[in-house]
Amino acid sequence: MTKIHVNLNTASTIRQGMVIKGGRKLSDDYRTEAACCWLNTNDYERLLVPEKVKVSTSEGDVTVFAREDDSMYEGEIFIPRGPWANVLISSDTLCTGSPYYKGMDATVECSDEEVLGCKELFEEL
Amino acid sequence: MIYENITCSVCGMACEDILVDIDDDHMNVENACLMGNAKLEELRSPHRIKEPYIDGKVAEWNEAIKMSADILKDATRPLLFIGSETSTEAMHVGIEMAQYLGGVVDSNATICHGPTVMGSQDAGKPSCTLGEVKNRADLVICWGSNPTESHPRHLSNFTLFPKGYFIRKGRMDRKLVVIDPRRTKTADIADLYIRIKPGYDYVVFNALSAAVRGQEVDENIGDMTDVSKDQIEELADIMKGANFGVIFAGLGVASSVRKNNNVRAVELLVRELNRYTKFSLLANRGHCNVAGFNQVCTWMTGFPFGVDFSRGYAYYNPGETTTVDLLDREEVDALLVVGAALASHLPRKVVKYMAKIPTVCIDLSHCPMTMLSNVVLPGVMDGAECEGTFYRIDDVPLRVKKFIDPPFNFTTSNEDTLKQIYTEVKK
Repeated sequence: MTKIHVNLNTASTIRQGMVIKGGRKLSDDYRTEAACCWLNTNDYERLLVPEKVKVSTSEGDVTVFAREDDSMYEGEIFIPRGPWANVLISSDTLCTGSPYYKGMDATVECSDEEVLGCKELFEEL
Repeated sequence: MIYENITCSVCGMACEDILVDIDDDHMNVENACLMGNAKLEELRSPHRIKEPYIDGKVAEWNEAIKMSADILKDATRPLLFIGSETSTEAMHVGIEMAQYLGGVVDSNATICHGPTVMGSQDAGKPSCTLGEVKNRADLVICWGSNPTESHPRHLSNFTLFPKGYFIRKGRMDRKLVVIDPRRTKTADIADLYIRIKPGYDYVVFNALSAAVRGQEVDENIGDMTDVSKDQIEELADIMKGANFGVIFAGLGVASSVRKNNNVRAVELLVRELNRYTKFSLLANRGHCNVAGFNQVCTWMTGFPFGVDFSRGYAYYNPGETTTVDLLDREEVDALLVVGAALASHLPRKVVKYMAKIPTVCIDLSHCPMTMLSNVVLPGVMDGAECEGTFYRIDDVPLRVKKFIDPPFNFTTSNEDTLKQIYTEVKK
């Protein structure tokens, strides 16, 4: 199975912001907006146009929806801020207090696993 | 009933022109963005928390307050995390309580623009107000920042489109430059977009400083940063040629590797530019009162965030006394979270530890944070259900109004809730 090496970027989006500010973190809308991985068209095609991808870093892995997006450059992925992205983020703050939200090395591959809802992610804890 | 000039309690812009038309069976919000509108709808939403909970079961208010106080009193190293969409008055009480308990107090800056605050401590803060930007700025640079999504009314209210005293034609008198690894929606409307390789902001800031001084930039810099020598020289000329320039630094600067060093480098670039013209730097901060915590904490303790009182005096050392690091080292043995979605926004590893320790949270609606908390207290919406003070991204304090009562009568504000816990803590 094709696996690509990428640089992970996380940040807010207006739709993810709308869901969390509207107090709907436990709704399916949050999963739709935040459990997704934006990929450059070439990377997306290299992975054979998947519906879902597994993203892995040294911290763990998570299955999210794949989304082709022209704003991305090859070798870079974006996951909106939220609990799915944070499965992948290192708690090493480089002596600043701020976690490694941008710039972690990651791999992406196709996945048939289920994209967990927000509630399910935390029921595991 | 129609209420005008309401202050939005979402992003750092704290927009003051919101109109809310609300009565028992309908609600209409005008002027707010998607996020502001969604938050104000919480005033009438069915999922609003209206009762306290202990271990997932509805409880009496006094019992929940007492249990919250007991959790904090019984801890040897409690952490009080005061969220940034609440008033500075509530923050004041939280900081005072942390001092009384000998605990640690922190806020959203720690995981957001904390590195920006640290960079300012290193190299100064060449700041200005949004009013100055609106009236004077002919060059606006968004660096690692996408306000179209994060601060939706940023460009329309202050920084790009509005006409100002010296910027009479609005957008036509301003140039927008975007530097970002992604071609964002803000980049799509920019006059100049420069794509930068993620994590190389520090190098480009220093190269720009050199170019501004008239020094030669290495021909091969493009191989390293994806920003060519020509682009750097062009941008340096644009910056020096502006009458009033401002850089809005986003989390692309503060959260990328080299963090506070990136901010220090851009502060020094702005200092260099002020030899030639007027230039300022502002951080695009994410919450309506995240700057407020830094202000209040600094005048109360001498430090802007992550303050540890366990030694009997205020001690600050990012990486040691900050939330993520304290949880990562499993040092904290109790947690109070006021209106902040820590469970959703911290790395999974520290959230797992958070789930093991006694936790109290104050929140408006059910979320992962309330799922992990032993005590859940209903939150009050600042700027709607109680008055208070917010500090906007440019550190301008705004008095925010109350226009509706909270849907319960056991507390009048988050400040009041914290005072009730503090009174119980002191017994």
